[in-house]
Order: sequence, then C-alpha cells, then structure tokens
Amino acid sequence: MPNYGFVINLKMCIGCHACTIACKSEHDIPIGVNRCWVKTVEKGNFPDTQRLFLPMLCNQCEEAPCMKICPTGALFRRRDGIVDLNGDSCIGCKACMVACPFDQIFIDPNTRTAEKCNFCANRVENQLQPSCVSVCPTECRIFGDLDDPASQVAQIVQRETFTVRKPEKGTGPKVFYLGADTSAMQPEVAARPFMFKEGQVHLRPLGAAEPDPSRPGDPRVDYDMPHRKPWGIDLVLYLMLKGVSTGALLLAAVLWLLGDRSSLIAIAAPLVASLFSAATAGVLIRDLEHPERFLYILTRPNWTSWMARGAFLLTAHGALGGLWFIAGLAGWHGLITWLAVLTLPVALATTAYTGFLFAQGLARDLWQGTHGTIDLLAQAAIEGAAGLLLASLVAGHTDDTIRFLGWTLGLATAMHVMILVSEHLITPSPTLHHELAVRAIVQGAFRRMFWWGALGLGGAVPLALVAVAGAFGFPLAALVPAALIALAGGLAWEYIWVEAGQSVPLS
Amino acid sequence: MTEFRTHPDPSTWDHYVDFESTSWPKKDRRHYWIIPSICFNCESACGILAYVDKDTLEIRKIEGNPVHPGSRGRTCAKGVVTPNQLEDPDRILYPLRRTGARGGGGWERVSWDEVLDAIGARIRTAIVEGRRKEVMYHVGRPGEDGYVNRVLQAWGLDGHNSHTNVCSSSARLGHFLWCGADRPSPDYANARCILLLSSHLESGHYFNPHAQRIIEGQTRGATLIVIDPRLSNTSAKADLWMPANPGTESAIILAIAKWLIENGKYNRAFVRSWVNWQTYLTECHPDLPLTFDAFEGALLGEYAQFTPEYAESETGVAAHKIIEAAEAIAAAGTAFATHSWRAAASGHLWGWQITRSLYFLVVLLGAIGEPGGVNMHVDNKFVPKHPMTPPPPEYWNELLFPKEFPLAFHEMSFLLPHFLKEGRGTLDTYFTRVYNPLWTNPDGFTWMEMLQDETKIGCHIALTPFWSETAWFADYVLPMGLGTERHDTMSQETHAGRWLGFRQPVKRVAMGKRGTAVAATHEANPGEVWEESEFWIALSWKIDPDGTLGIRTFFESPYRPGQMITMDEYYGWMFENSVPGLPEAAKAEGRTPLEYMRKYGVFNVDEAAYSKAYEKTLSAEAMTGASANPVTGTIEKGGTAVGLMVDGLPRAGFQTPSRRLEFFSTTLAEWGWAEHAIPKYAPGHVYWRTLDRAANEFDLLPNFRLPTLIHTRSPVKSLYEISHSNPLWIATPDASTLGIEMGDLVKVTTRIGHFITRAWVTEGLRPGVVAMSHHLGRWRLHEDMGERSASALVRIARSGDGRYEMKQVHGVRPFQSADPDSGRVWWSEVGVHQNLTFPVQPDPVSGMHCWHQKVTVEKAGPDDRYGDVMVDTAESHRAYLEWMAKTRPAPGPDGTRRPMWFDRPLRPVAAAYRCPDGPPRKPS
Repeated sequence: MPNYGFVINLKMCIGCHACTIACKSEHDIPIGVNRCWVKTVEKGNFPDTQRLFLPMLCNQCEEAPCMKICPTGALFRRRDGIVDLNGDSCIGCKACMVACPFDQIFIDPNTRTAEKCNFCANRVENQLQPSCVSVCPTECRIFGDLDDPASQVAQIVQRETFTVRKPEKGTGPKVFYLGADTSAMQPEVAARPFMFKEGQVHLRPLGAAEPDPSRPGDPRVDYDMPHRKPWGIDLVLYLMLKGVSTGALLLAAVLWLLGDRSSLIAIAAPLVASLFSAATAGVLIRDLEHPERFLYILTRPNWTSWMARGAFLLTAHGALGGLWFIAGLAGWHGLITWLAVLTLPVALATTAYTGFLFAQGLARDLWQGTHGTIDLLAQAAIEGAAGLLLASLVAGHTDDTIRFLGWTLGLATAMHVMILVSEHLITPSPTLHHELAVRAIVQGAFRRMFWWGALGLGGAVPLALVAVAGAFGFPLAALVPAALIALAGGLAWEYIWVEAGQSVPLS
Repeated sequence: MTEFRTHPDPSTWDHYVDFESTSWPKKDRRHYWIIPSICFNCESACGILAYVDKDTLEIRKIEGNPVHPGSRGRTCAKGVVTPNQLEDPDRILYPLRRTGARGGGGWERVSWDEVLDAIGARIRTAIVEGRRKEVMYHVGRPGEDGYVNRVLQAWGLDGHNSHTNVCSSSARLGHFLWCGADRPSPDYANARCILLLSSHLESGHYFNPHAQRIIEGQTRGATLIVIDPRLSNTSAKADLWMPANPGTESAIILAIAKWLIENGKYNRAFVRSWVNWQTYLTECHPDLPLTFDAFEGALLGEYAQFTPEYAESETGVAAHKIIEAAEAIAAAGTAFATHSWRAAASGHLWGWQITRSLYFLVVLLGAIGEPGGVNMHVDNKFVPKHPMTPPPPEYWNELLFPKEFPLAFHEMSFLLPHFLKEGRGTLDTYFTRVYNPLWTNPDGFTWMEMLQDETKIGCHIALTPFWSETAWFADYVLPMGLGTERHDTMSQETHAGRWLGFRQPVKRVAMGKRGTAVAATHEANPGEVWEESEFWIALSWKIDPDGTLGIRTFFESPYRPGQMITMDEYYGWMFENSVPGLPEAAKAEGRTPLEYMRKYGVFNVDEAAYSKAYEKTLSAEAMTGASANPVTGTIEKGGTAVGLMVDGLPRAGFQTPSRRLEFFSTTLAEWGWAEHAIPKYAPGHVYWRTLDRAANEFDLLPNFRLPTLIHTRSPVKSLYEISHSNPLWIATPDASTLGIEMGDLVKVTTRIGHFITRAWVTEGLRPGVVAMSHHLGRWRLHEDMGERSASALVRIARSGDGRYEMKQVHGVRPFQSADPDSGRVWWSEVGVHQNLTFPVQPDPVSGMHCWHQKVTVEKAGPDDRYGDVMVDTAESHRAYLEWMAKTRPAPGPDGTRRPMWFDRPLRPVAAAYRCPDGPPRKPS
C-alpha cells in the first residue's frame, strides 16, 4: 500500500494563500478555522530583512497522537497512511486538539465535530492531487507515495536536506520542508504581536512571547491562524470535582480498613464521592460538542485513549461509591470492606489516569512527565480530605478521623506546594514550549493567580491554618476554613494547569 | 506507481463523478458537469473550471483549468472564491432605481424593461440631438477585449473612459516610447536574470501566470532582483533586494546601464542595428561624427555621473549591490526579463522615465524577442475580430483627452470631476461599470460632489454585482454577472505564447446540456442578474428600435437578418471567422468552433511566440516606391515610415516613427519635452532630499496591493479573513523617533486633509517612507445596503466651504444571513480610505496620477478615532490647478491634438486628431 506524504519547497512558496482558500473551498471550511494556512514571519534588520512563509497542514504522523487519544476511534488511519476522521463517531471531546502538537485539528462550527486535513483523501481516491497542490501557482507542494522509490517525494526525502515540524515530538511527520528556517518552524521562537500587517489577530495564545521593541530585527509572526484552545473551565471543574470524589473515597477506604465505622465513612463519604463523580461526568458531558453522543465513549471505546480508559475507571469508581453508599445505609459492613479493598486501586487509578490523559496531550509540554500524576494524587488527597472535613460538619465522626484528615490535608498540601515549586520555580524547563508556559504562570498572564491563588490560598494559608489547628489538637472548626481555602487554592491551580498548558502557540 | 492528475481529464468533464468532501469518509457520489470559464477577479484572465452539480445546478467549487496555457490549471486565492461571491448575502440581485435625492439612500426595485426603455430613450435623444459626447462609459478593469468598445463605436461615441491613468499609464508610456508597444511580455520562465520594479509575486499584472513563471525561472537558476522600498512578498523572494528611495529607481538602472556600456557587456551589434542613435547624435551632438563609436562615447558622457557610488548616494542602496545586479544582468545576456507596472512608475512624477530607463537595459542587452527576454505584448496577446466592425467615432471628446495632455497615455479619467467643476462639459448619461471611481481615485469627495450634482450628470447608471461607494450615488443600480455568469473573450500576454480565453455563464451552459432551453443568461443567473453582453445588445435595440440611426444593424444576427443577435451567434461568428487555427482544431474533434470553446474555455493560438517581427525583411513589392533616409535608414512610403535599412537590408523595424528603438524620442522633443527626450533620472514630486524629516515629513507609498484582495470588486469572507485592514507601515527608527508603537493610532496629513489609522512598525521598509495598501478602507452609508462583512458604517458631514469629515459609526460586526459564516465574522477594523485625502497629481506627460504623497505623520490626538478622514475639496481643486499648470498643451508640431502614432483605447477617425484651434507648436 502507498504511504502518502508531502514535500513543500519553501524557496518556491510566495505566501499567496491560494492553498488556504482552495482547501476552504474543497472542504467547505467556515471562517475562523483552517485545515491549512500559511504562517508568515518577518526577521532581520533593514535592509537585511526577510519574510518567511510556512504553509502548514496535517502531518499525517506515523505515530499520530490524535489517533491515540481519540476515545471513540473517530480518527483512524487509512491503509495509505492518511489519518482520516469519521465525523459520525466524533463526540467533540477535543482531546485530539490537545494532543496534536501542530494545531492542525479544530472543531468545525457547522458540524461541531473535529476536523482536520486528510490530504484530500476524497480526491486521492480519484487519483487527483490534493486541492492545495493542484492550485499552487508555483508548484511548491509535491504530493506522492513515500514508499515508492520512483516518486518525486521519495527521491527528495532521500537526497535532500529537509526539516519537519517538531521532530522532537517523535510523531513521524510526513510533511517535509525544504529550505525551512527555525524562526518559522518552531512556533515558540518568533514573537507574536497584537496586530498583523493585514489585519487583526484572531486568537493570540496568552503565553506567546511579545515583541521586544529594543530588538526589532528579532523574528516576529506576521500572520498566523491558530485555533481556539480546546479545553476550558469544564476541564478545570472536572479536575476539582473528580479530585474530591476520588480523594474522599480513597481516604474513606483507608479509614474504613483502619476500622473507622462512623457514619462519615460509611455513608457520607460514599455519598460525597458519588455526587461528585456524577458531577464530574456531568461537566465532562457538558464539555462535549456532541453531548448526546457521550455513550459512544463506552460503546465504541478506543483502548489506547486515556480518555476512554478514564471513562471506564470513572464509571467503576462511581459504581463503587454508589454501592458503598447503599451498603452504608443498609448497614452491610462486610460488603463495605470488600468495596473498600476494591476502592483502593480503582480510586487511585481514577485519580491518576488524568495525569496520563493530560500527558497524552502531546502538544502541551507543561503536562508531560510524571509530576502531574503525582500532583494529582496530592491534590486528590487535599480535596478528598477537605471534602470529608466539610462532610464532618453534618456526619458523625471521631476525633481520630479529624486528626487523620488534618494531617492528610497538611501533608498533601505540603507535597503539592513542593511539586509546584520544584516544577515551576526550580527545575529548568526541558523545552522552549515548557519555558513559555512556565513563564506565563510565574511572570505572565497567570502570575497573580499563581502566587496569590495556587501558592497562597492553595499552599501557605492552609498550611499555616493546619499548623495552628495542629497546635490545638486539630479542632474541626479550625480545619474547616483551611479546607475551604485549600479547595479555592486548588481550583486556582487547576485553572492555571489547564489554561497555561494550552497558552503556548503550537503553529 | 499511482500518477496523480492535477485535474479531471477533459474527456470526463461531461460526466464527472466526485466524492463529496463534506460527508467524507462516507462515499457520497456527486455528479458534475465541469464547465470552463475565465476568472473575473483581475485582468490575468486565468482559466477556471466550474463544478456544476447535475442535480441542483449549484456551483460546488472553482478550480483552475488545466488546458489554459496562461494559468496552466492553477489559480490564486482570488480565483477560488468565485462561489463565495455568487452567494454573497449582500449581493444585488434586482435592478434598482433611486427615489429621492441622489445619494439619499432611497431605492425601489424596477423591471429590466423599464430600465432599458428609460436608458435607451435617453441615449437615443442625446444621439439625435447631437449630444453624443454627453454619453460616457467608464470602466475599471474591463475583463474583456473589445466588446464594449465595439458597442460604443456602433453608437458613434468617443465615450470610453478607463481607469488606466490611476493604474499603469506611466509604465506603458515608458515602454511605448521605445518600441511602439505599450507593455512588455517578459519570458520569465526562460530568463537567466529577472529584474522587477513591481510586486509580481503577489499582485502584478498578471499575478498568477507571471508568479508561476518567475519562480520557475528562479528555480532553474535565474537571479531575481527586486527594486522596491518595501519588503513586498516579491522582495522577500528576491536573490537581491534593493530598497531604493522611492522615485530614485532610475539612478540604479542608469548606473547599471553605464556599467554595461563601459565594461563592454552590452549587445553592441543589436544597439547599432536597431536603436536610433543617429537621431540622438544629430539632435544632441551635431558636432560629433555620425558613427556608432561616437555614439558610444556620447552615451558614456551622457551618463558619466551614474557611478555606483552616485547611485548609492541617491537611492540608499549599497554600491556593491548595484554592481552585483549589473553583473547578474550582464551574465543573463539576451535572457533578461523585466517588468514595471504600478509600483515605482505609478508612484512618481516622471514615473514613465523609470520605465523608460528600465527598457534601456532590455535594449542594451538586445533581449527583445529572445527566449528568456522580453516580448512585446502585441505578440503574446490575441484579440479576435468581433462581428461587424462599426466605423470609428468622428469627433474628439475633450473630457477624455483634453488638450493639456496630448501625450496622456489613456483618458484623464481621474480628473473628470474637476473638468465638470470647471464647466468643461456635462454628462447626460454616465455608466460606471464594475468600477468604483469615488473610492479608487484620488480626491473621492470631489467625485462625490460631482456624482451628486444632477446638473453635471443627468443620469448615472452603475453596472455592478455589488454595492459600492459609487453605486450609492447612482440613479440606476443594475446587477451584472460574475466570472461564471457572463460571456466575454479575453487574452493576455502571460508568456511567450498566444491564447484566447472564453468566459461563459456556466449554469446556462449546464442548463443547455440538461436540455432546458435558455434564451438569455439572466434566466440562469440568480435573481434578475444580467450579463453585460446581452444588456448592451438589448439597450442598442432600444436606442435604435427601427434601425434608422444605423446602430441596430450592428446588433443583428449575421445568420438571421433583422433578428437580434444571440450570444451563440456573436461568439460563434467570432470563433468561426477570426481565430486562426480554431475551426480546424474544432473540426478535428468533430465540434463547431463555438462548441470547442464551450468545452475547453480556451484556444492555444500559438504555442511559442517571440517578438521577431522587427527582423522581417520587406518584400520587393513592399519596397516599390519606398525610399530610405540616408542618415536614419528609415524607409518611408507615401509619407509613412514602413521599415528600416539595416546593413543594407530592408527590415520591418519597430512600430515607432523612426521604425527604430527610440533612445532619443523625437516625439517628446517635438511636443515640448526636449529635456526628457532620452532616458533620464528625474526624481519625482516627493523626493527624499526635499523632505523635512525634522518636521516629520514622509513619503507615503499608498499603492501597493495584496495577493488576497480583488480591488474594490468584491469583499469575500474568506479573503477578508486573511486581509482586512491596511495599517500604516512605518520603519522602526521613524516610529521610535515619533514615539509610535505597534498598533498606535497615527494621524497622516496630506496637502488636502488627513486620516487616522493604526501603525504597523516594521524593519521591512526604508526609513523615511511610510506605506499603506490601497485595497482596504471600504465604507457604506446604510447599515444594510453595502458589504457588511467588509465595510465600516460611516457618517459624512460637509461644511459650506467644501470641507468634508468622515467618521466611522462602527466597523464590521457579525450579522445574520443565509450564510452561517456571517455570524462568525471576527474582524471589525476594515481599514481606512486613504485615497480621499489625496489631491489629483497628473503627470504632465503620461497623464498618470502620481500616487506618492508628501505627508506628515504624528501620533493621533485624544479626539482622533480610527477611520477619521478630513478633506478640504477647495484645496484639492487648487492642487489640481497647480498640477495642470505643469502641462504643455497641444497642438503638436503638425497641428494635431496628439501624435498620430499614439493610439487610443477607442481611436476616433484621423481627422479628429486635428486640433481645431491654436497655431502649431514650434519644435523645441
């Protein structure tokens, strides 16, 4: 079978946007979104100034992160190597947009499903070149079979010096550029102004570097059409709600197994966990572009996707919570013990999978690595402890339990703070993308929320309150404010984590 | 190995089955007729294919036509968007007549019958009463060759007005004076060096066909040199970018010319044979011997000052770069291609001298008619004869070619409102056709005054697919078809070949294929949109219903005497009778010539065509009764120059009075411009040395174009999404001096007013220059009538002394329409209409409006708002009078208004060239 790819000779591209428009026409793409477009960058001091053009389209990656993360298998690979999309299976979760390091996927406002370049598979099957190739005045784009040694693309890729976008992501892009310049290829290098030479900036990533007026010759983006960041407040709420749910049940399981038979643990904790896991599912469904299709995630699961895996974990976790609550009401303590034993791995996994899910968002360097997962566990402990402390206001409990929850709140907060400080203030960034995200957090758009919210409300204040409470033997009345403030601070951090992670330009 | 085609093979065009992309990966099959046409969105005349759905007759998409030799299956962004134009929610679909005051905004729908009756009667009365000169047709980019000229000729009118003097007249004149053809046809694809004074890789005259060949040439090893003060996309692709001070381009070019001569790197034999050096020596150096050596010496003396160092001091471009350019040009030899169209030539007083200098290089290299060199457009453009040629008009319209501008290359179109203001005439019936003079020309408020004055213009008819600033001030707005809704023929000199393109209403053609009888294109078009070709025929019949005026006969069928000619008959006749090779090619396929053109949309007249006619040896018969001038070698017969003796052989030579390439222009000398008789460096009206930089004076370059916009013709959502505003480019050091940061509002003050826009700070511009694209800044006076996705709603206030103030009420806003995209419009600022603040600045020779403006730039004040425009039209009229004072009026040495060898777009009879008054000018 063929293995299709592109070569784009940038020496020949004149930045005329014919490809952009031909693509829009072929696929009826609305305004505001693009399957392909041409970014321009200006660099150099007069008269040694240069303008660079970079046509962008889907790389149809060998290891396509969009396919991996798609929970329903709507994104699939054709036998000719093209990554295609079946809109009918798409639930609009936008995970693919989180995963694509190239900003090549968007939600089509007409269909409300994901959309992306598919090398014009509909034309390719008719032995026609993709429309951007057919239209190009200067023939700077060459399309063909990379596995056919006689094809022009194969010959160029073998002989010439080429570049691909973001090779470090290891996705195996199949669009090869000749004559590319780093300032255009690497989206973090060129500064992003607040206007372009031919109009307004549609969407400017918050974490993009601003032009430095004292260095006018530095590369600057002249035109680009990034897509809207996929995830927003629903995902922030998801993190918080799920943290409370899994954290509460996890702590309850530990306490139950340690012998706590109070109504807090038998009834209130599973009730909190169930309600919050239902709310978690609710915000997740609300975030879908096609909420009516939410069951596809269970009926057509793609097992490589942490979103699909998570959906099953979340269901299992919700079911455990529900059963536990019923058992608690019914007084079936033997069953609760079994449920608590099951809860330990399930709630842990339900907490942790989000870290893997975010890390599957390959585009976002902030979310890569294991610290995110560890931090999620810490946050779940904080949020679960806080949830149980608040529930203790109405549910029967023991002082030991409160002490345990107080210690948990304090230790987990300390751990969370240590992770934040080490990851964002101490450890050097592994990539420029990560550095921009961290800069946005520490010095940029999110700095107030970070210092006052995440570290202040989410760290220093609850730690101080817990310490004071500890000095007085952990009275519940003293821990409740700490719990509330920790929850607020946690929410601030979750907001930053979601938003800053997506604030760096990808194109 | 799978071979991928660029397009479906023509054999499948009548039954093409395509997978619908929007429901992919389901394999929904849609059935199409693929019907070719010609793009209507610029003058390149690229071939397009319309995919017409067999079930719905909807045009699903537009692609390039692979059979078309000029565009070779490719289009630019503007071509592809034709379906967006067809479905534009703000399109005008029915004829409208104004109610209330002109420009007051009252409109009523009328029937085409009423329209034709009323306008036909008006024009008939004007003709019968001997007021032909009060009927005028004013066209922007025509998009067709010869059709309307023939109509006007049939009506007996000298009434063709164009936009050329705000576009390319200086570029044309500079070329024409050399060789008698008004523009070059560079063979970019085969060139070894390409020198551009235009931004051909983004706009150019012919953008897509030329851009593809320039890059093809560069890819094959040609050196691309661009002279432009601005980092255009073309400059960006150049191997050598020379950002000269605006208006000083000739200094670089003449330095290169001198370098070629003194280093012996020029084509001495060619120059000796074909250039009128004898005349130069006789006129300028009568003391020197009449030898080529003497000429060479005189030439070096003439341009002695043009050292690379001097050129550097004038232009700001480093001397070593100039030498590098000269070496690349010398190395190219005859494979040297060059072009200048709008940029420098259109910008400056004496801009035509820039073109003239540029072609001096072509002449020095002998690159005329050589592979990789420069052809004359006449050899690469094919204009067929239309049926039944009417006689030329018998009078001279002074509103078009006033005697102040005997050498104006085209009509003095942009001065029309001043002419009317001065009482030089009035217009009874004035057609503007897909043309927006109020917006496009300088001094738009004076246009607005003229259009509003019913004593100056009796009836203004706007033929247009869309609302425009001009159409708002019309009496009738008549909707006309777009590129897939009309018939036209068109050809352009896109490369070293010749072709004829056929534009056709594709839906009408499809209905024909389906078996639906269609008598007229409007039956297939949306609403009541007509095509112009049928409109002119119907109107001509209304003007002369009984044939007594001798007009109707030109609009009768050549096949059915006395019946109205149909489109099939008109173009059928043309393709049968005046396109060499077409009937044979059609016959070989078993088609009629018309069927062939409907099938392919184009005919390749010549695969390769190089301008070698000048070398043709005159036959003995042609030489009978002819005699050669012993000094110049010019062969004359019956008082007309017909050829040239070269090395003892009679050759055809060039279409100039001397039949030579005219280094020394006798015409210029005789018509009062002796100081400009040879290629010369003459800094323009905005010269950097005279700018008071301490007083924040700048040279405003207002005439650059973008590859994504269609002049004022149509705002298209997907193009506006990319390009929607025209901030002021300002160089970093200048911005920093003025305390201006990116995005700040700035006030730009011209002689007659000012405007407020945003600053875009860049390193891609020569300091001292500011630049602004001429495309944007569209406005409308009514919330719902106008292009809502592309224009700002404005209010215009006039004070008694002719001062106008324009304020934006709001920019673009999302709106609801049948197209859901209307609600998604995300841009709001759509540019500022800078041309309003420009006085007219006619070049006294070419008549070209000299676009550059001396301006002052400052940070905007607290009361200034984006889009504010203030203009004093009294001052603009004073500026007009000052520029008029620079002219040197007719008559010429032979008592004519204009040299006989200077053509006109619609040439009247020879007798009309005679000047009725005034003594002949003494030769200077």
